Amino acid sequence: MTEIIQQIINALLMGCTYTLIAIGFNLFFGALNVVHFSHGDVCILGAFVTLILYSLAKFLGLLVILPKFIYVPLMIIMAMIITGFLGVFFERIVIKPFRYAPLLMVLVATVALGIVVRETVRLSFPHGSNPQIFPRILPQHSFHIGGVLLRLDNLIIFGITLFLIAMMFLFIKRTKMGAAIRAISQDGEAAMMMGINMDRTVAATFLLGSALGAVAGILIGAYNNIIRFDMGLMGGVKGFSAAVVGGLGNVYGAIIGGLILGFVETFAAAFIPGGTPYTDVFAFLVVIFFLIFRPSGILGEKVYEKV
Amino acid sequence: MSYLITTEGLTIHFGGLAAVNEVDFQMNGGEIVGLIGPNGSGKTTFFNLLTGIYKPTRGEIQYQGERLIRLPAFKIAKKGIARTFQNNRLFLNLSVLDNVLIGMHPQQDSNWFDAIFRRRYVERELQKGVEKGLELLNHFSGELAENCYKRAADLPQADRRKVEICRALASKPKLLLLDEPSAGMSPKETEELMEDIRKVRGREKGIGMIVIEHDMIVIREVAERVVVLNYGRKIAEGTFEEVSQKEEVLEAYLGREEKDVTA
Amino acid sequence: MRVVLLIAVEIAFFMLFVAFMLANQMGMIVAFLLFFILLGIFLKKWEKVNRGLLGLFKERRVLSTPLFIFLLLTLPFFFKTSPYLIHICVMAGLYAILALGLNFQLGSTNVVNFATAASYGIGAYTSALLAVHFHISFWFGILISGFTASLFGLLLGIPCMKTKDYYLSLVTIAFGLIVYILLINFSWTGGPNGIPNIPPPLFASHSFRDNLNLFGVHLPFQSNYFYLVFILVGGALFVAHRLHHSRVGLTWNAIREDEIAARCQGIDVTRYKILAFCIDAFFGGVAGTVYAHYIGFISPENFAFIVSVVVVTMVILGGMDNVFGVIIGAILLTIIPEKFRAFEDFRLLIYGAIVVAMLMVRPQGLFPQKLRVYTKS
Repeated sequence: MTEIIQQIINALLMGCTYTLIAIGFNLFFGALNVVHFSHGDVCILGAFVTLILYSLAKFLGLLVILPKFIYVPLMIIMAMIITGFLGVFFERIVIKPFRYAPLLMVLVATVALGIVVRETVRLSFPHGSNPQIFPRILPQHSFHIGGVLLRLDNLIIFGITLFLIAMMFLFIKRTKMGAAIRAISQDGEAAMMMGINMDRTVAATFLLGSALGAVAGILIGAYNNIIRFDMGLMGGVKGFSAAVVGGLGNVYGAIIGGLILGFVETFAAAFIPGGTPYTDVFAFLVVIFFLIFRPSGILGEKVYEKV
Repeated sequence: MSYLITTEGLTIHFGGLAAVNEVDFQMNGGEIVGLIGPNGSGKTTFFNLLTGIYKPTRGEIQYQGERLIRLPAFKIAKKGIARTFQNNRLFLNLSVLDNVLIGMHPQQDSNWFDAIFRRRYVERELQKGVEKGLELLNHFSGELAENCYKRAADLPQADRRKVEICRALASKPKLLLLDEPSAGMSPKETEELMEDIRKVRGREKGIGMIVIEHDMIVIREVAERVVVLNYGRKIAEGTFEEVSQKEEVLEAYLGREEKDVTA
Repeated sequence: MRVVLLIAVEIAFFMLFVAFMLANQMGMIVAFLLFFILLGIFLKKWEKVNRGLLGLFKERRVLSTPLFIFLLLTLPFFFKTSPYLIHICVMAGLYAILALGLNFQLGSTNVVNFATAASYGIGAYTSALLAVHFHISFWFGILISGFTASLFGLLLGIPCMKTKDYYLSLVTIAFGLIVYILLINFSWTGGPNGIPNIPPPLFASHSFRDNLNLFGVHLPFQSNYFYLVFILVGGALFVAHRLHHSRVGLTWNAIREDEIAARCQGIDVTRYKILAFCIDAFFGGVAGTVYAHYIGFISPENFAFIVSVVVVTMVILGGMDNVFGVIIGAILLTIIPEKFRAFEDFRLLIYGAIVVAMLMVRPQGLFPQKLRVYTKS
């Protein structure tokens, strides 16, 4: 029993990271009907940005001055902002030129962008090809409740994720920009005719999605203590899987998809003998299944092609 | 006697809306039927149902005595139903001749094995196709036949229509569906179009045609019988004169007169 | 007179190419490259010269083609002191085969298949395992792995055919990654270490690992593979050309241009897409086999996702649905990075940048699809 609870906690944890990445995919797909294949790399970029900030802070001696619970959130917020703007930058140069081009072009372009981002990261860091140590920014305490090991950093990750998701929903439901984002998700042209600034709204979408994704990257780094330049590929594909399962274009779907993926992976690894190396395979099989048989995902709407 | 094509209670729902609603329809080979109705009345959707692009929610389609509902679009096309599209779906990056050649697909049978190992067979097939294609193009426009290597995307609208009609005819269909063929055409081009429709009639004896149109002149000139749709339902049927007098039809297009409110 | 001009031009180009390959000073290499680029631009701008030359080559096809082939066949002789150059040619040839295969899907049908590496890998592993464990000869192995890869193409293709192109590409990405992970984890494929000691092909008791003795000249062993790959590329080119200029090629293009209109023309889109998938996989399998027996050992790393992206780059750069363009794309993207070995680290970065640039500026590739012309018999 305790084993199961332990695994549930693990699954929720993975689910959180996938959800944060998947939200980005869903936002971008909703707004522009594009699968931003390099979103995963942008997420990991968030982790690398944090690494840079941390090293900078260390170099400037700030770490001894400021207490952890101040500089950690500060770093995260700064990384979110920086990565958010990087996300917008990438959109401007690689996605916007193809806004009215066939969708496959955008896909190939974003695949290429992913490579460029990955390689740039690899080349910019000394020994970039090797895993980089990520600072322990989360508290390391843990405690037992009824035989189950609860780590404080797990709880913090849950908390941060819930908080961010709640903030995002508030933003989308309650603010003007949020309404604009919802509008262009429904019908971009009509939205433009209503006076919504497409460019600015798209930028906001990418800012939001990339910032949230950056947190995912940071959390992955903080939890595993290392990051690699190519984590973005796998992370991106898995985050995308979560998005598809939940329903591309539907942000609630990101949550459902993220949880499902987290559970499938964790339980496959835990309870199928010798299954650990194949957890990724399971995740991919799930997404292939959905792509073929139910591309609109669990919550997505069926789209009728106009002939 | 058996009809060329019939539909019975044909219905399709998109979400909650019935785009085509309980439509009964019959026609014989050799007839030209006009299909009219205000925008959004379901005319193109009706075509999409006939050609198998959409699957109906309810109802029957019988073509030469065979049920069409289960069949995928390409099989229906192979049985002899061809169409043109409202927005003209030519293969734009290919030449005019290639477009017409592709139209002959159901009439040909070489496959990949033949392409690699039985070259002469394939060449002969292509050659025959080229001859027939040029002849078909020539029938409608000598100029097109001469410029058969022009990219379809570089053609003006009226020529594109002609090529689309040639492509549709290349498969030797028994039923030809024309979707707003005169859209975007000048009066002179419309004249040519009506002439083209008569040419089709003359060339393929016994071919049935359904023509969706908004231009009533075309309908009056070419259609022997007219069917009127409104909100997915058939509201009238008859000759053009009969139908254009009917109150429901006038109402559908022009709206109802407002009853006096101040009284 | 024109015949002399033809021969002179062909030999001149050939000698330039050989000189470029042999150059090993960065300055010389850059000079050559600039010269070629300028030549290319010049030919593009000066239509008359361009068409004149091409016309001449076509007209005297009976002379120009065998001459061209002959010149290519002499390459190992020129490179006999630098076997590494022959190696580059072999790899370029293998990538050309992969690119030709992918072209059926990407160029002809517009399905972006990111699983080329998977069929490459399946071909390589199948043949390697057969050779190492069952001592099956290379010549049978190559057919068997071609068909095995094809079979996987079929297995992948069938459930996918209802899927929209867009989602289909994503499925191929996932599929490629799955194959990669499985190769790393299965013990019978050797795991992350792969399969070592793959025997070289034997031809009439001449092992491909031995130096080749032709006309009294000792050529390094890579030459064996050079000629093998040359024949295979020729075969691939033949098949690709035949398919393009047939009902099949036309149908593929129709599917690419407008799938719905294609269906209304009686085209069984599913069947033709699967056909493209299978032929692409077959080419991949064949190339993979040669790779395995050439290098002598394979590991999953050789068949990672990035390999698929590289082949996609080659087709996008060279020309969508232009058989020669695609080969040139493969050659360019294999040879030039090798000459700029010093920038090896930036290779992938540059590939990525090339793709984005090409898509923005010239999505049809350097050599776009040529119009089909039917000669009156």
